[in-house]
Amino acid sequence: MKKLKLILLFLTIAITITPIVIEVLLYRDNLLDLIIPPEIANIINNQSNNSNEKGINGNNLLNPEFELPKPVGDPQYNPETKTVSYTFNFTNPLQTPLEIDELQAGLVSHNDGFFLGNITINKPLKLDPGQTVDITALGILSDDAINYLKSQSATQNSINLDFVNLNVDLSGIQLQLDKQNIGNIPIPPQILT
Amino acid sequence: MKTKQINWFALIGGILILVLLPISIYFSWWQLTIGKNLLTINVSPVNTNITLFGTQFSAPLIWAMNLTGSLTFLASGIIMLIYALIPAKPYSIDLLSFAYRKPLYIVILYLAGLLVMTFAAQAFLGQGIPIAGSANLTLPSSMTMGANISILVASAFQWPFYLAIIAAGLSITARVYHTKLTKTLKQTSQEPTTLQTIPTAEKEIETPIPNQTQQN
Repeated sequence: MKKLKLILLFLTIAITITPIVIEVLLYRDNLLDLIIPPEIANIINNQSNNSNEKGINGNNLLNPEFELPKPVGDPQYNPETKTVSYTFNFTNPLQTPLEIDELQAGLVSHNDGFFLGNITINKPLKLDPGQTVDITALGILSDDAINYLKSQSATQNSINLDFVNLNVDLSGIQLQLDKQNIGNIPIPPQILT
Repeated sequence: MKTKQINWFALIGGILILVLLPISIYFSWWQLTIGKNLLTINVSPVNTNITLFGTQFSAPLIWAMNLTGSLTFLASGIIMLIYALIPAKPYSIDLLSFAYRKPLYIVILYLAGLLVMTFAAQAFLGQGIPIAGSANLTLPSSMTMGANISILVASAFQWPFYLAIIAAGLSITARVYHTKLTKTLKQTSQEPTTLQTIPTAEKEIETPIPNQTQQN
């Protein structure tokens, strides 16, 4: 009976300790790898290597193929509905579906803060892994905004714009930005007519 | 083998522990979901994995701990079954003592691990992650470059966890029942001995009679 007790005690110790001891021995040269999954370690390494070079626009936090939405052509303007539309092309670089349930923002001139209108996406989007879609943002321009753009077009054919109060709901993550510059956007020629 | 000599609680408990092992590999005991499946953490004592943006991974130390969990379940289940079939042997109590505590220890350590994990997350993020339920987690602005980011976090215990609690409960019941069972078995084994003494006593009584007759 004492023998059995000893055998069972030995079994308990062996079961509890052996797997951990083997792993510690395997990772004895770098014990940090024992705790942090190699995939996470790679992400951290890539981030620290690239943080100075790439910044927010070149963010490759999780996938080197990640790219921000690219504009497709120039913004279009429909004078009848006073609606401006701008299409972006975006590829889901992840291995999980992405859902864009909400995207809305105010549009202001970067130089003088003139408010042009609000833009939004017309319907929620679902992107399967690797899928590329065109995301069209729509906005209705006020008469003041049209007149402002007309006055601007006298000296330039594009305008530097900011998103204000940007709200994005991306797969359950709600992002709110007070202000985000989106760069120079061509003024739709239809506005001038 | 007499059915009376089986510790049924240990038998069912042992089977449940052995069934729980493969179940826990494929179904987690607790799941944490961040966003709409952007980050999913599945935790069970035999299999823990993190799925971030569709990519699954696990830490080597956690893998080793899961292996320990698997072997513990396996040993506990097998030995519990062996004990259940021979509860009256002198060494059976040693088998039971080895087997019955382990599911309980695993459940307790598992819960303690979850609590430590959520406290660590609270210390890191400044906000608590619910052990069971959902909440909107707002990331500190120092982490988001000025943007306000709130994330839907949902967590829940899964049905294998409740199965593990039942297995642990059955194991404890098996230990309690063992005392009752051994008492009953002792009493049963003593009963035929009492019956056998009757003819012996009769013989002892009867024996002097012929002697007395002879003396007379």
